[in-house]
Amino acid sequence: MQMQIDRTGGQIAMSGEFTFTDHIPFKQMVTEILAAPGKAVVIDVSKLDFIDSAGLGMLLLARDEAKKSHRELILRRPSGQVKRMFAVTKFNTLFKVEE
Amino acid sequence: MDVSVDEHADADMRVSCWDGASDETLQAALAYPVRRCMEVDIIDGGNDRADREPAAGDRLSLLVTTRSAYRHSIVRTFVEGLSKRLPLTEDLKIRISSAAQEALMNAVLHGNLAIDGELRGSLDGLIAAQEIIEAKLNSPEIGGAVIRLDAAWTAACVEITIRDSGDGYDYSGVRPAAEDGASGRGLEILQVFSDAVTVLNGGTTVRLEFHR
Repeated sequence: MQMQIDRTGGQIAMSGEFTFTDHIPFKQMVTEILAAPGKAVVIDVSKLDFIDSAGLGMLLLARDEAKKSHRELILRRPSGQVKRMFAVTKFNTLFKVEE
Repeated sequence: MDVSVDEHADADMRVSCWDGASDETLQAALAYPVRRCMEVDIIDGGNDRADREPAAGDRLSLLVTTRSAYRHSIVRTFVEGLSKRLPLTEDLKIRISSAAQEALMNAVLHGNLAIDGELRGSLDGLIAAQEIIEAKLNSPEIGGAVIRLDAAWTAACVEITIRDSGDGYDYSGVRPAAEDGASGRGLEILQVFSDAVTVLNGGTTVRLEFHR
């Protein structure tokens, strides 16, 4: 998984594949979420090609970490396989998902 | 790049070796007309026994080490290789990739590496798991243990079988995820994206069927 971070805009763009093996970028992602200036942090997943159950789990862990510092994670523009995985696991009930 | 194809072999026995270096060299090693690809670090033949050979149709097999199964995009590259041999709709490609990825990671983490699934439930657990995983992957016996993927297909069906070299895994004991729990969705994803899921050999083998 690759990340592009917009610190002033409080947005993180993910690309590539997000699976169990992506611990290191995930830890960096959590650090960036906790350092974001606003209370809403947008995760742009429009360029994320693939996610597995472990990737979904890590997004939930990121959400829980954000909650501890009173921040909300917003998942923006899922597509393709990622959108299908969000639908199957009813992710829109667990996150604010923007189309 | 270390890729070789035995062009003189019988059409049913075309084999190649993968050097384990990258997804690109794996893609080359899986190029048509190869039917069986084996990572060079596998020295014991990789549990060559198949549970049953397909009665008809065609097939592709890939044998990799646990280390490579963890570090490379094995499923994506394998499904790309399949798509060069049979037409896959985007829907079917998503279903096969999503389900096979879950089965492969189960085989790696719970089969060959014997990692406690509970570690995935917290950030601290994930960090602890990573250290355990790296130590096990560096062990020749565990990191070099075989993961095998087989695909067989007919006009009506695609069947993907994933085998590990572990002691087996009790899928009947797998609990569904809590609604917002960080782990436990793998089995649900297997079942939703596949038309049939069969667990064989005490949990070391998972067979996924997809209607075309």
